[in-house]
Amino acid sequence: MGWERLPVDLHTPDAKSPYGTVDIETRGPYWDKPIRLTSRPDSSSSGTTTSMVGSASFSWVNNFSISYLEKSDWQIHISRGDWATRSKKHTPISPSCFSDSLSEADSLRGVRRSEIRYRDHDPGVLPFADVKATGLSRVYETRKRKYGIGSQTISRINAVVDLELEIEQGELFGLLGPNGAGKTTTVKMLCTLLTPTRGNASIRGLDIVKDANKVRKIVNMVAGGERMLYYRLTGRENLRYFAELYDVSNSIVRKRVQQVLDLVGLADRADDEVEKYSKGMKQRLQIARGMINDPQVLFLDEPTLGLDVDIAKDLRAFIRKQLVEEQGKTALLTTHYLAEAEEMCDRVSFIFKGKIVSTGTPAELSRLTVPTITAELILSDVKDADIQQFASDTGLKIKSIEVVEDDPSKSKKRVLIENASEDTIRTVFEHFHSRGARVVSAALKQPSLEDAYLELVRTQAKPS
Amino acid sequence: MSFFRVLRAEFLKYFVQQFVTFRTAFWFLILPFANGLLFYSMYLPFSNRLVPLNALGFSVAVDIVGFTLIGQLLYTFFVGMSVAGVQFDNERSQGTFEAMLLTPASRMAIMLGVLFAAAAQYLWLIIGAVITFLIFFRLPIILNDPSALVLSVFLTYTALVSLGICLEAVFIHTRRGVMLGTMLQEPIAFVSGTILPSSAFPPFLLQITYLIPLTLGLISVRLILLAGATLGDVLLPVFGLLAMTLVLPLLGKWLISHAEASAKAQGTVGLF
Repeated sequence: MGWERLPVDLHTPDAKSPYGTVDIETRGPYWDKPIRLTSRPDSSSSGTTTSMVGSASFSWVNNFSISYLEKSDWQIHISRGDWATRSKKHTPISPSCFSDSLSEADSLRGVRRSEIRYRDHDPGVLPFADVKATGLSRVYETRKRKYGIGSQTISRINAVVDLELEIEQGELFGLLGPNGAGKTTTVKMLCTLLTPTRGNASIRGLDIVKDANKVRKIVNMVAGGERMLYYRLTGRENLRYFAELYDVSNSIVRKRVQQVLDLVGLADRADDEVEKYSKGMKQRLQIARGMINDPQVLFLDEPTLGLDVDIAKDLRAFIRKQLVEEQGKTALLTTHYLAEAEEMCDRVSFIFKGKIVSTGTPAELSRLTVPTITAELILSDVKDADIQQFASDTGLKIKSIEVVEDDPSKSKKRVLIENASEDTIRTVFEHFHSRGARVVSAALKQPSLEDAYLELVRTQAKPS
Repeated sequence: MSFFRVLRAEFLKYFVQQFVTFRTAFWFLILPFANGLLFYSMYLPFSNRLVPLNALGFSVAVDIVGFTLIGQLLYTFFVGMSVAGVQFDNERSQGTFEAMLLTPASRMAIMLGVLFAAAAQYLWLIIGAVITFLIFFRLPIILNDPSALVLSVFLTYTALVSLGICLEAVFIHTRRGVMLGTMLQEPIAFVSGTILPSSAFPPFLLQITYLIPLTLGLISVRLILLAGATLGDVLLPVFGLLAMTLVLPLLGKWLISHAEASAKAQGTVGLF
């Protein structure tokens, strides 16, 4: 998942009595010290399970056990409580699980250094939800009167419908959808700019409605376009102003402002008025503004909107590497650009007409919705009928045949074959080459997030 | 502490935005004197004419230039508050409103910061105009109780700032701040007695005008400066101003929190 790795020292005194000590060294806002957990036999269970004896100061650890799976494998389970238990909020704990299998031989050496990673295949179990939404909905009501008088008509738009969302700590999560799908409305609700019509959402266990002011301290939002900055102020003045509004400690304001300016590469233009900045610089300053309160959760609402390709690329790299991987920020990204989401996001949700229709890693979504690999061939001097005949002889499924538009002679055809492999290309090449036709190019096309997205939009747009 | 930090940040932002260049600052500095000259040319035909000032048991004829000047200056201040009142609309139109609402900063501190900044700006306009008048007109000022004058001006100031808070709260919700702010200016100038003596109004209108801080401030300052009234004479409007100073901010605080919650519920915060 790439969100964190937990180096572990496992001490197991006896292979058949799987209890010992686990030292966990992690980084993050809540556990910057090493943790030592000791397991002991659990009298209530069958001998192969142990229960947790953990340090009380690390209350996020909800449960800990070492399981003896088979003769050669141990499995460590560390379940963590919601962080809100730290603040005595008594919110329900959703158990989270980390696991790793260690060989018995390694364990018997006494110390085994390993890495515990979140298991991708553990469905429905998230280590640490930073952002959580349950049944989140938003209805917009528009009231109109004809000529300003007369009876009132109310039109309702369901912008977001029963949205379920969990974003882990340190995860870059993408929310993709067409215009009007509800992406921005979702972001605005999560960062307290809009009140949900119904449903709940929390940021680090804080309710976005009841604890709105506390939420505002730990989140920030960066929107695309040229907004959210004072053009008559300099970049530094803008950041200083927002630092004051976020009540950043006086002793570190100057340092923080310089840090974020350095981070976005605007230190040398910091004292110019924002109106003199280029579009890319304004956008980078927006990111700096979004970082000024050192937010734990950052909402990025189409941050590369309208930027040049090279600037957008730099910005994407910056968000992914600096903000998420190095600083461990949790981020929710909304975007129209599917390649962007594919490149940047750990997981992605497709949202359509206010409903989330699919969630997974970009690779998972691509495979789930468009499971086939397509061969794209450009053939020259060949008739459609020959292609169809070839398909029926070989059992290949032709997806489409079309004339290549930019070919002046119009003799080239683009042929898409579904469920293709390298053998397919070889077969096509041999078949047509022997018949005097020319295979101009051939390529296997992996399903992309864009294919998946288009497929989903097509499916969802169909009347039920 | 954070309340005052936000207030200071808003105050500074207002001034930096207003006087981004030396040229703007220069024109700002000389504007009050130009205003004074404008007033002078306007009021010169009426010089040495008298107007009745009947209020709080006083019934005196005072110089029309002094009468109008005080009205004009306090009205200028009211306009300043009205303009500051559309602060959130300005933020909305320049796209910074959401960034502001994203922060946990006190909304009251934000409003007060802008209002104090606007008040400071208009205070200079007033001082400049007064200096000009003192040079060109020999106003028949009868000041018997300077402390009453200071108190009256101060309370008029605070009551108008408080009114500004209420206006801001209303404007954020209606999203027609600029329009409403402009619409309010002329009727208030009329009914508060800025130009016409309020005794000229029908009784029912007169009672309503007492709900406007500007009216009470005008009565109080005019009587102190032009009729030689003391604090004892103007206790009624002074208490009125004090009450407004205390009540209006609370009302404004409630209104602004209600307006923000309501705008977020209706989805009208970011729409413009």
